[in-house]
Amino acid sequence: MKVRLLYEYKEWKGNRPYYDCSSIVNDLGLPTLFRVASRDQEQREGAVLTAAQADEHLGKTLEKVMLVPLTTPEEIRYRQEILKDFLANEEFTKKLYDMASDAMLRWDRLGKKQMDKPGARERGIQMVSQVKLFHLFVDVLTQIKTLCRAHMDSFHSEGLRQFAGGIEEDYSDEWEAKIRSVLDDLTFFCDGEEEYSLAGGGTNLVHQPRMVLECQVADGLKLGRLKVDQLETVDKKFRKAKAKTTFSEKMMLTFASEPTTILKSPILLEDLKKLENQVVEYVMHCFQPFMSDCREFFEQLHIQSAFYRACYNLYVRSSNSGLQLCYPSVCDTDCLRFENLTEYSMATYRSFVPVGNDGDIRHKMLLIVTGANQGGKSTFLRSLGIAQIMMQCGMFVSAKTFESGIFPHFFPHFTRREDSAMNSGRLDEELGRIDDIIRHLGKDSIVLLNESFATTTEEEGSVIAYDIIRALVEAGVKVLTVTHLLSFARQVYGEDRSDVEFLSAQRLADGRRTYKMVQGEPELTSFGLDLYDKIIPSA
Amino acid sequence: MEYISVLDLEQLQEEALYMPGFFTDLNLDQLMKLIQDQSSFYEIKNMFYRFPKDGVCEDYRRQIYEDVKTQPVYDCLEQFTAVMRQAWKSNGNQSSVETQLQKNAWYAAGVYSYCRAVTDLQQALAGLDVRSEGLQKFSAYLNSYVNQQDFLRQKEEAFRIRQAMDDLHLILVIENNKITVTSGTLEGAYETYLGEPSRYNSPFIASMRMSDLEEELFGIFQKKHPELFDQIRKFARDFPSYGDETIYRFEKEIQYYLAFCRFQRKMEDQGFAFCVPERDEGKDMEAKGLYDLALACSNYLRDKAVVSNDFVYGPGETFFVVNGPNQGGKTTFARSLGQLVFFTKMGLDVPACRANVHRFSTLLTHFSVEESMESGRGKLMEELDRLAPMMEKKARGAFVIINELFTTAAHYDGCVMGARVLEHFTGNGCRGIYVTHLKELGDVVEGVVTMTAMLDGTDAHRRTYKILRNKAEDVGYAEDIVEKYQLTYDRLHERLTEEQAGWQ
Repeated sequence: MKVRLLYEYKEWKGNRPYYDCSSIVNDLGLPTLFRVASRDQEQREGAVLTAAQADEHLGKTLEKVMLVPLTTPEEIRYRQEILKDFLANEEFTKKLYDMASDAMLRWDRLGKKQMDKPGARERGIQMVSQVKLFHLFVDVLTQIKTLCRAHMDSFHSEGLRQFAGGIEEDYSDEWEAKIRSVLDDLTFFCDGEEEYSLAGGGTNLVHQPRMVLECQVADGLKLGRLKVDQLETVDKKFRKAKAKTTFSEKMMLTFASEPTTILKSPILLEDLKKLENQVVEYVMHCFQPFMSDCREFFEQLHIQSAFYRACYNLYVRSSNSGLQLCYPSVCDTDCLRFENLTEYSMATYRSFVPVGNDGDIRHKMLLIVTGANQGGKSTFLRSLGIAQIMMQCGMFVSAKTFESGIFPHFFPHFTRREDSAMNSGRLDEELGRIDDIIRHLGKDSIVLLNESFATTTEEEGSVIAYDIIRALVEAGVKVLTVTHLLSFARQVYGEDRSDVEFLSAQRLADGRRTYKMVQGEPELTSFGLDLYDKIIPSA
Repeated sequence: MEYISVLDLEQLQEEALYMPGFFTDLNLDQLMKLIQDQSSFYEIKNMFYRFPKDGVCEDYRRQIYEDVKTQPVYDCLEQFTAVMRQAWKSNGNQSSVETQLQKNAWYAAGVYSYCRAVTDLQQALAGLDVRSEGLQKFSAYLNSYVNQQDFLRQKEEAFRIRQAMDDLHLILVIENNKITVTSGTLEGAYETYLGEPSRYNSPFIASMRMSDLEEELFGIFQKKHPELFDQIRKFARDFPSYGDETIYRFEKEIQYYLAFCRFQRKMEDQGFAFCVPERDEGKDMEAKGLYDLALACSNYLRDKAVVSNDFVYGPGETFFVVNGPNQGGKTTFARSLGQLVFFTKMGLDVPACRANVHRFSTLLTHFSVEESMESGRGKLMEELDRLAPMMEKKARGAFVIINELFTTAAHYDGCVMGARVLEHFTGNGCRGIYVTHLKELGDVVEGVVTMTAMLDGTDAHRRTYKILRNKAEDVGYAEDIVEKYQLTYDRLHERLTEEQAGWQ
């Protein structure tokens, strides 16, 4: 059975995540998204915000999935189509995830951890859990099958259609009936467990196995290989067994045509239990492929449905606050186009609609953003980064339109505030990180530099920035940089290169910031004086 | 009767019980543990504690090992060992079960395994082209043994009982704690329904004793069908004993070759080379790709490579004197030479790509012990105390390995004493290797070759672990100062161009 809701041809493995995921998460402010995704966002506008129970699995899963980039336009489209279906079928989205997480929860209670351990086979107890797990899988699969049948017609995506079709095929009604008949035969084994009792409340009935086995004789007069000829559970009127052989039993044994015995002693009965266990173990062994299929299926479903459930939560939150969302499209790596692009993390956190930016940048591998302090430069760089990451995991993006290339190698290089205490080592640390990035570059890499090399003098910093960025761009790496290093920016501007785009944070003549990025020559000042004047009272 | 052994040509009075002194020096003790691990059932360590009696015996063993290494021979010996172990296990079971009937049953099982093992080995060996004198002799012995009347009768009866047990299938009908036992076979209808045959044994198979249930079932069954059970009892009465001294000796001794072969194959699978050493006295003693096997084993676990070395004792050359930096691979090189001589003398393969090894009477080693509480003078005394017996024996033609002698003596004294030691051993027709810090030693005695543990030329202080013939001299270890993060434009451009080649 296959889930394949994240990839068309494979299940989720979490292989090949971005390098240095924690920098991506922290520099782009993604924890906000994970937090919001973990909670039901059903509150309508005006309603009292109730603290819905957070489901950490949702946030964690979103994080994991976001940090493994898709690498082709087809993969991205595949997820986008599925996501559209999930967002359009609210009931299905919720129920599917609920079923998957309920199955996981009950599986955990049955001792998933112990069961997963290889070689740990506490006989008997272990087998009982296995049989119960068998029941559990069968029940939930039936639920999922029913759910899919109810929604099948409204699915448009290839992914969900295949998912629903696959269940019909791999868990056909015929196959289900056979499995259930075997489970009935095993009823005696889980005796006492009301949940799975055949008798259904019959108080004076007990379940007894009836088995016919063939047995070989092994060295040292031991019972050897077993062959199972018959196995079923029969209901017997419960009667307290007499400790001694009764008269009627004696008569029966005497006149039996074949050697017959009635087991009375606890040791013999214990041995008989062992024999029964072995038969059950054999039956379970036959369903081993099915069981391991189910294990994989439910583990995958738990992750994959969580991703869409998390997206659904984010989607609800965004629509509630009126944020504009779109499904991005893929273009060449040297192009970048967007309309009304907003910083999604901040927008989600504050539940308001931030200022959007437009841009149409073609055939450029280097983007240099300069301009006024507090002008929204860093926010802009983050909005690009977040959109890029969200696009590369098949999610929607907070913009009217967004178009970009695919960069499986994504490196943010943001100044670390927490390091400010140890000033002397900061450049060292920054360059160390650059060195680390250089070592992990690959085909189609993008580097986001936010105020890099500002830990030394303007002059030195500019030289370092110039050298490093030049070498990177020459090697085909896309670089988006926000910088105060104006000598650097002006030097590049002076070269009049066709592959570089300059943006700067807009500042109106009266010093007001619009938080918009506009195309233009880097200025000689970052207008820090504006701020200075604003904050420091003039004498 | 002729004494047949695959280790020796004649019966030896004493078995070596203790590890020879050079074992720990050459890390052979570590290797022995690993080799012993290949054979948990048999105690093979002691067989490695003594050299074959003479050169003839060394070759006798080498021929046998050549045979053992060929796949058909190896397979039939492994098979033989496995079945013999079943026989031993049945023997053990026989003495630990209580009921007489079951004792007899285990006895019959033991005899069956023994006869099976011997018969199969005899047939296999007879059909194979074994070259070695040792295996040929043993094969001939087996041929006559399996045709002896006693063996034949015992074998036939044991095989017949086995057949009867194989033929007997019990049918158990279990319902409501009542069990009926009959004999016969069934379709296995439920297994057909599930579509998979059961490969399960009864849950009691792991124990050698009969469980209560088994006793009960066989008890009620034999009342009506006593034939097989009578047969088993009668077998124990008619044939109260079995086994043969020569076969048991072979079984034990052949483990010497099998364990080493298993070990060697594992190492070869990891890419470590072994070869059959040549024994040509007319040619120079030499080896190519020689490495320290013990180091290879421990490094393999840590995923580290092992450096191999080549060497040759040219005409008239008797001793290597090795200098070089600490941790440069000197001791490892010395050990690998010792291991080369050891495994050659044992008639086994050696850890090298190619080797020609001359004959030596024995191996002598002197390694400085870890700095202990002894002060300078005490340590020198201790070293000399250990050295004395080595020199006293005047062991002619030995292979001698000396590692860091006289480190605590004054420089001049060390040189003088070292030279005397070298003179003594070369004068006694010995050959060997002397690892030392004293650079002057190489010049004073005739026939001594100086070698040095090499450092990487570009990046100083990096060890290559290569030992090469080289006059000892002072090498500058000055390290180039490299740009810490290599981020200058030129360097970065270079790096990125290099890296780009690796991007798909």
